[in-house]
Amino acid sequence: MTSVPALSLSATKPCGYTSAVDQTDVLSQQPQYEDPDAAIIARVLDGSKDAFALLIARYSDPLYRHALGMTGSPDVAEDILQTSFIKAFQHLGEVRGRFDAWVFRIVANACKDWLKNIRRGHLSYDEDDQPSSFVQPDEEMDRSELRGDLEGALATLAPSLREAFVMKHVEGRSYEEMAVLLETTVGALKMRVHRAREALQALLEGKYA
Amino acid sequence: MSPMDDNKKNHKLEDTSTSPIWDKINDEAEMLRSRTTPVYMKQRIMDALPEAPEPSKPWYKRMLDK
Repeated sequence: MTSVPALSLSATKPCGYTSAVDQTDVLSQQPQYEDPDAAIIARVLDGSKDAFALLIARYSDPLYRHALGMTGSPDVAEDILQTSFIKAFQHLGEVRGRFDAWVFRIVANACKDWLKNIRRGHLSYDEDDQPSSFVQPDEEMDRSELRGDLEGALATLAPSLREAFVMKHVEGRSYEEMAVLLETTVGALKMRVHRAREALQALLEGKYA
Repeated sequence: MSPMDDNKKNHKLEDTSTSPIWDKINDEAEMLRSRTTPVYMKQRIMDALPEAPEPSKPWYKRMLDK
């Protein structure tokens, strides 16, 4: 039986592993929480809508960061987070495995759909949705310029390459964790990250090297 | 070294020595990792939820709906 790390989608532990646990029985092995996700889901399905707030509190930060890394826009990231949690709530009775991985895939798919629509011209950035501050506005100008250039370079990547790069190097996840979340292989993810890095290097090194 | 320490090691790009751009990107990534969900979001999401989850459907009905 393959052992994989528990996902740290926790609000208090923003990145990476929390512990090594068995993928097939993750929901019963969440020692960091008093209530395992499965117990909360059961309460919600039993009619306690307010219990869903616990899941939002538990997972919103890493999901928000993923959406922010993927879209570059705080406003878009907020919208994706909201619609994803609503979708998760509506379909909560369909969760059969890990809630954290399931809700992550909802957010990840929403991000990729948004990027594809941007590319096809079906959507455009509103003025308020411009890729904006990962940091406070009084940061130095060169940071702002780099951020804009980096966002521009990331925008040229295929959504799957951007996703792999953001998860690996922005969110700091391991390849094993990414493979579980995205339901693909470590080898495929390494290739995507490699291709993304090569593309970013080619786009940015002329200016920053 | 705890698993969390080990993970922090993974944040860095492996080939930072090849180009200064990766140092800058790492700095930007560090900024993003410190971001948290805006405080109003939890209530906004809760207010937008429907009254109850949809009744669970068998897998084959879900497949047919797609």
